[in-house]
Amino acid sequence: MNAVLRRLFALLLCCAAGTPHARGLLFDEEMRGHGYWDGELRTLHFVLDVRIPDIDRWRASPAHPAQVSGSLRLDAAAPQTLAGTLEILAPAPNQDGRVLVYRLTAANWRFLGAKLVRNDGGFDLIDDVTTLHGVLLPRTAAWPSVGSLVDDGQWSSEVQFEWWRPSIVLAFLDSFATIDTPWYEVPWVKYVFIDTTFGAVAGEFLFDLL
Amino acid sequence: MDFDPDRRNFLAAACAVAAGLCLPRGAQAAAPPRTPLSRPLEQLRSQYSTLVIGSGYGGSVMAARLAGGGPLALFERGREWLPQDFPDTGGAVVRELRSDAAPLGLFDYRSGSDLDALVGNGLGGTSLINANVVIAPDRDVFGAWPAAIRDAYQSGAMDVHEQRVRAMLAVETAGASLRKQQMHASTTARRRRAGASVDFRRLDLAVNLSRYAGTANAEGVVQTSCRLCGDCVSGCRTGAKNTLDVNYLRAAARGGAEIYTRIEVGFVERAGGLWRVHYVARPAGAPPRRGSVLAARVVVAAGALGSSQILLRSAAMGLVLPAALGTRVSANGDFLGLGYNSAVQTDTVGFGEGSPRFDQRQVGPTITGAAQYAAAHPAQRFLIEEGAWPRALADALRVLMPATASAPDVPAGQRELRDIAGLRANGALNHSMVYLGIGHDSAGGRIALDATGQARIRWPGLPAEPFVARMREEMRRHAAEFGASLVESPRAHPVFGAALTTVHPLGGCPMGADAGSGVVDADGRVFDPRGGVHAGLYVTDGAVIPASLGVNPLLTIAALAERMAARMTA
Repeated sequence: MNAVLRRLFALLLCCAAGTPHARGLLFDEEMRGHGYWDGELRTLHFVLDVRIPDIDRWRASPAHPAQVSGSLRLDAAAPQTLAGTLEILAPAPNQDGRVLVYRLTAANWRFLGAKLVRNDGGFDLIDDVTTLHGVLLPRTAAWPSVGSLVDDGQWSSEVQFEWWRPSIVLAFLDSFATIDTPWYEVPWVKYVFIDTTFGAVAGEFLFDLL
Repeated sequence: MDFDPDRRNFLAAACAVAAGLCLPRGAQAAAPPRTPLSRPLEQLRSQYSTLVIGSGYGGSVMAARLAGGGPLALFERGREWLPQDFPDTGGAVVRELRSDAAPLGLFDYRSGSDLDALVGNGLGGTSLINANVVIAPDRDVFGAWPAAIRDAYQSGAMDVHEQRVRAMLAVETAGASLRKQQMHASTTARRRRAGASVDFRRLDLAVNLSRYAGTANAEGVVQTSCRLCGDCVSGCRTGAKNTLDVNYLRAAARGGAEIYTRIEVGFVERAGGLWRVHYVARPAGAPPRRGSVLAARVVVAAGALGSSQILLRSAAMGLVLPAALGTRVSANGDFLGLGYNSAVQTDTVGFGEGSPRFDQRQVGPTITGAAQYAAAHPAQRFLIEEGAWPRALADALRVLMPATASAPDVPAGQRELRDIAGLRANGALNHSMVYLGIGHDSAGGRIALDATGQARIRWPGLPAEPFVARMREEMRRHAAEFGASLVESPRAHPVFGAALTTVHPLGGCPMGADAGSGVVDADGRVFDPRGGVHAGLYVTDGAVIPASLGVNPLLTIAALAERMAARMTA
């Protein structure tokens, strides 16, 4: 019933607007940590701009793919521009949990990382959704499998969204904005995003308790 | 000497019962079966051409090389270990601490007023519980040694013996994908950029990493390859370590050597033209019994503490020995530290026979690499090797360590809480680095017998030696590179005695040019202070090393034994 009402609501809004819109969403994410590159552990600083051009297509796809652009700074070197994709809470390999998969490419390297959201060791939801394990690879290297990171532990980079720093959290929350969305659909787009992401997380952590 | 026979009898009787209670758990591992090397005590003869006392790197080499030249027996005070018998829980480790009540315990931890020492007890000696690092010392550290040895190293003559040892121990090098190794290489690189004269090097190990995969090694022992579980120092339950019982001791047995375990030698004395060796045997399921055997040649190879103990007891029983006996004791510049709770996951906690937990990768052999600090003067050089905790100690450490350090930030506190909760493997302990510093000390320690006749090291002033401050500062800097704090051994705290700990005790029967400066000559022959040497009496192990080596000593001990054996049989 809830789904029917939501679709009806959306239909009414679209009709009222008269013109179809893609109705997208964007937000920023900043993460810091360490990664192994060129024979040494380096400090990593990601600044990412995540863009969902069409919230409905995003929601309909099981992998929930988004576009990513931004930069990565290794140690004290100048930040390098990067681009790629982010799968937001896609089903994890072997259907065990959910993953946020980052596939990013820059001029000289590529990065595969995954945040694994899995009800595995006490209530560690915050750690799960803020800790990114990955590998830095030469640009020409083949992508490793996500399973090699989340199941086999073959990661060599660990970065975190620093949820314990208020400035980071506030900047993250403040960065949410819609794209090509009429004003009267802004709440709906945000609702779809929250409903999809929280629903996936709740599916992992809450349903096991019920 | 306070070595009361009645007390010994009482303790020995108590030991028989306690040893039975302390035997490890039964076989559970999938290590390939092995043919035992040791013989029943009933086969012991009354006289041998050669008797080797001890089965560590000195004794095993001598037994292998001298076997076949007349009846030869080797005595080992501990018992023979099969891989699946090694302890894998904290309780089992505690039960295997050697004591008067548990004389067959695997871990011989000798506490001293200034320096504690940990050595192995069992067939294969310390090879059972060491990290099996095979590394040659710098050629210019032999200044305090007899000229023959100094020349042999500087001329390259010792290279042949070292190569022979490397071949027997089937040396390999661990790969570069281990997190603790990557971490140590990274902090070393940062220290170098900060101006320190240091380089990272991967180390050769006597571990079967890839050579044999369920196949027979050169001595016919079927070995599985290393599982990278990180449990080397509590005994390898998969049999992948190239301990001496899978190489040199097999060669000795193949050559006709009779190997007896559970025989602890008390002292030796002259018996006409022979040597009488007095012992206490502790056969399984029977009370201890005393006895003696005769031998034309006795090779004392019971380690720095063990060999010194035997000769000190022998001196107390009337054998005239040089005044240098018990001197030139070195800790090999050992200094232990823990870089606790860094921001980087290091995977330094062993996982035993199971699989790594999902949030942990393989640990690797206990030690795989070192930061090597260079200096023009040998005494200022040192290594900081990375290590690992065996699984048996992990649970206790996870809970205890958070009490020793305050978390500097939220993630560090989270990691400590994870360890206390015990639900995941990515806690503070698995974000830590175990450091073993090895350098150069003054060899100013002294071994003496305590009231029970056990060798103890005395070394007032040891914590003030320059190597301690040097290593402590560098470990602190390594740890700080990624946010960890340096935690030292509790024994180093004044409350617990302010003592250091060595896993490489050396000296006590130092080599010297004559009886005025040493206990043995360059060939291991024991000086007679009245002139010449005691014909047929040798010491061949870490006890003869008169100064710190600055590296893990097993290669040097074994190579010197190879040299001595070659000269004996020439």
